Amino acid sequence: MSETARAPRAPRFNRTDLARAALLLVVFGVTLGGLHTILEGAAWWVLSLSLSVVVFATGAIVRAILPRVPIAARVLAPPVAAVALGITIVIRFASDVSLWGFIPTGETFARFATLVRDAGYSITWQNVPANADESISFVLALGVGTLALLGELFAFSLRLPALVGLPLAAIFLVPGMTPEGATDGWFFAGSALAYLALLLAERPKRYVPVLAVGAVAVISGLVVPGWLPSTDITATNSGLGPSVATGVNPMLHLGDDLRENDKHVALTYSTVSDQPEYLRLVEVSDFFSKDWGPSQPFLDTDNRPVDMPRPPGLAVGVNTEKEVTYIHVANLVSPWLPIPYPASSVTGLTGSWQYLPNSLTIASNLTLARGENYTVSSVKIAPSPAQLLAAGTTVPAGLHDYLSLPPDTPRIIATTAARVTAGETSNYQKALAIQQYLRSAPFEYSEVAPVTDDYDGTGVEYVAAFLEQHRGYCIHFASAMAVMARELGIPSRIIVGFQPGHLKNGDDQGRHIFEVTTADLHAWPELYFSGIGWVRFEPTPSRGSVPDYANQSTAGVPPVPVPGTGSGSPSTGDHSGAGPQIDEGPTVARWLTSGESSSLFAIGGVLAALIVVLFIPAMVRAGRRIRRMRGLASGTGTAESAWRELLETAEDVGIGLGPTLTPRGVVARLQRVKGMSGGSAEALERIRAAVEMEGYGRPAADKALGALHGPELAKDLSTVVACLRTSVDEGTRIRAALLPPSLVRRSKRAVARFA
Amino acid sequence: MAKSSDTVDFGEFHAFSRDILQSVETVIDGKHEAVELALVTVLAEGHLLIEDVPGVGKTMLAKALARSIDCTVNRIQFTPDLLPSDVTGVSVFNQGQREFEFKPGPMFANIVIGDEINRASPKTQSALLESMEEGQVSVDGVTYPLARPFTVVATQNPVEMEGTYPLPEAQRDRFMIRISMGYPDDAAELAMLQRRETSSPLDLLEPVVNLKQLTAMIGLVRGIFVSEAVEQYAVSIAQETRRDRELRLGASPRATLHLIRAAKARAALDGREFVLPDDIDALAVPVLGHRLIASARVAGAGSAFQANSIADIIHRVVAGTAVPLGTGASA
Repeated sequence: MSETARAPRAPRFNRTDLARAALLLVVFGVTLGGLHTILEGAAWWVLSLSLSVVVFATGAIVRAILPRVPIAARVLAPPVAAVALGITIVIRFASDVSLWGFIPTGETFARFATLVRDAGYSITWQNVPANADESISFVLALGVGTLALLGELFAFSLRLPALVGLPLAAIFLVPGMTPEGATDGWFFAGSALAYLALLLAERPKRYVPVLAVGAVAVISGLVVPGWLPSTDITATNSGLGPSVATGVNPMLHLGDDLRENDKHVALTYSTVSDQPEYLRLVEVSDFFSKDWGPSQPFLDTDNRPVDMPRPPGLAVGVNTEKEVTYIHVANLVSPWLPIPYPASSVTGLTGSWQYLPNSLTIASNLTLARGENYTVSSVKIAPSPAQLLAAGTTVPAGLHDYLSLPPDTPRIIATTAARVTAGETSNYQKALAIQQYLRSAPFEYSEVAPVTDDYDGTGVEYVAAFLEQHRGYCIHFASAMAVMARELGIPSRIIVGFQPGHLKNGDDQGRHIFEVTTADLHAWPELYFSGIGWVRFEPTPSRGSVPDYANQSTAGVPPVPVPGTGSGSPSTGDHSGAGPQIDEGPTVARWLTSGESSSLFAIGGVLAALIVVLFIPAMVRAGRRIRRMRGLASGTGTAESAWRELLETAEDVGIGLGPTLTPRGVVARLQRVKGMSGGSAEALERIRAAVEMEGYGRPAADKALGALHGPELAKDLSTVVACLRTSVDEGTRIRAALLPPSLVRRSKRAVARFA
Repeated sequence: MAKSSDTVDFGEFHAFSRDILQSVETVIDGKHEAVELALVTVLAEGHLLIEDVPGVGKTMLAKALARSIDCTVNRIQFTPDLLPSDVTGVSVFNQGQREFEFKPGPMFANIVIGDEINRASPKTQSALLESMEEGQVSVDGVTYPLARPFTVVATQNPVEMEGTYPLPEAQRDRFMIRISMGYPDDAAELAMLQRRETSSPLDLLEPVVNLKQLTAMIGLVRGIFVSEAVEQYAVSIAQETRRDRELRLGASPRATLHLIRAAKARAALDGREFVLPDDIDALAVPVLGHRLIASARVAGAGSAFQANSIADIIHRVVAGTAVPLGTGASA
């Protein structure tokens, strides 16, 4: 600092330094590119790279300004780069609420808080690849900036470029946490190559350790993303049995779950009704996206489920029946709460849940349904056919979203819908006609056919394929009916949830207990009728129950109580005739869309894991020290172990001794250490004498010596080690503790020997 | 001294060696290291080569050492016309008894001072050096064992001086230790002047150790323990000199042996029962220095420069050789 103040002159850039910074930038650029599997577009990449440029360039400038005082430059570069990074982020995200555009004010931080909160929603609810909106960009900027600072710190300030692998690994962990976003192998390979280049540039003559470190990085990069999320999510199963994971978008894997032979209990509930309702999880109404799924909800913390709004469109005249359901969620890994429709109040929830006013579904971006016990007050809507008929074809305004279809919707859907409903006038009759059409031959229920014939998906083109093939499961039937209804101008949506499950033995204070398993996962359409609101239909043959009002043939006659699937699987013969087996043993959730929903937990877990990883060297080193000290104190340790501990401690605090010094040479060097006098110098001499006697004296003598002087040796060792530690400054001490050079050297040697 | 046995303990060894050193140092001022190395050579049953310019006290050191020990001492002044038989001895025909009779040469003594050994012809040099190595002299097919202990203390002028025959490598290798006296510093030179003004202090020297005691001391040195780690260290250094690119000739196995033997003597002088790597370090230059030959690139500037640069190379090799710790078995 004083250097520049005294003689200001042009900064002098060191060419090697610049090359190294450029290489580091390339490494970051390639690695960040790997995020393309989870983020759409390229703007986020440009932003991330720009921030990396800011960090590395600032570091280079600081070093160029202070070429004569490298230590000062090494210490100053990271904080200065952090300030530059902070200013850049403020300018990019909050210049309008900052003083002079770049000095943060209270409003700036309020903006940041909002962005972080929004990012939480956005990350939780967007499908992969996600649109990098403002909030996600902000979190990305913070994350990348921090990692770039770490990179700067490791590569330049600490001169440990191998550690740059840590932030890189952190970047690679991100796609691994999402369900779809597998790591892109090419970017991974590119990043690994760039990283190796960085290492080789630093240590051109040390191929073997560099390659070994690189190999470890590559392998851990490949392996770690594989196990990290799964351990995060499923390791917390404890006590709740095997998990049923529906994730944010239960539609995605519903078929897989139905095809699975092992059925897991999702939840149990008790109710006085012997005709329980379906339990809804999510509403799917946007038919435009590639993969259908629930839209990203904006959860308003005021929407507490204790007091739910009146269901949309329900007029006073419609028959309703109050019901109370006590639900215990077993191990359902889902950010959606299973509830009957329409609920008026949900009480007893422990987590933070909010309802969505349109669909009356309940979701959370902080917690999972697992383990919740709650009471749902709901009403059973029982419109009479006359009321439904009276709705006619009128559709109230404001339901446009529930009517729109993508422009490329295949014609076959519209023509089929028109043909099936020919002659029907009211929306109700049309709906009944479609349901009847789908429930009768040639349509049949099959969980396997869509997979084998390759139309197992969601989207209008799959609906068209299904209409031609006539075989599918609930998703296909529900989607077909919903899309056909829209073609006919009836507002429709798809609901994913559970059918009522099967009756369990025993009761709960007079209430029936039902058990719901993965086999009960289901999808069904809801259609909107003016004056009544949303009404459930059941187009899937041999599944679930057709509601009274939708049962054409027996309209007005109470249907048979729902058997659920307790007595056997659908009679399609697609899988073994045996009933669903409740698997009591431990299993790992097959798919982990929940990784998305609990991304906050996952990020926390990764951070915790990173911190643990950071402390691993310190722990290993401390373990060695403790082992040696114990050995000495108990008389089994050798003087040599004390000596090695002494050498390693000296190495850790930066006193270069090396293996070519004799014990006396080491002592001569250490006696120059600050504070090594009096008691500690004598202790040092005693250790030296002991190790000489043991190492070079007659073998008969040393045994007795080690046992005799062990405890004293331990005391002397503690004295000398303490003296060595206090002889250096705080920074060196912390570095010695966190990343002991002796350990680094040892592992390098071990790796080299192995190689 | 009161003890009449053939062995000495460490206390006596220490007393004797201190006496010898003090005695020699009354004559040689300010050269403690050289004197100690000379004693190491004697105790390790090696031969000493003292190399330096004329007039710095080479012969004085040799004589002082010999006088301090009560044993037979012979001195040979080497000249170009000296014959091998002048050194080893000669068989002459005894007319009276009508047979050949061996007249032992000056080699038959416990300490032989060979002054200016590089002035002798190579033929005479080799006669001396062969008997040094074998501890015996063969004349006319008859072998005569030399005295025990037997130490040759040879002095020589640096080879660039006029009228010298430099010792060949093979013969230099037979000397355990080579030392250089070096010029004395101010104080030492002044002290020397004042002492010599009236008489030669050499004449005042009395033996402080007798032959029996010296033999016992040598016996103690032989019994000094050398751990495998230290042997390994010496071997590593020797190996490294053979690999080093700046050296044309590395250390011979005999050099390694001498290194260990000298180290034992040094350890004993230090009051230790075992050899440390530090002994090896300290003796590397005196023991190896005269045996190694620098490659042409380094040697270009003549021998004085060469001696320095060889010492540098040895220092570098020693500094670059890992010191084995203890048994080396446990990590």
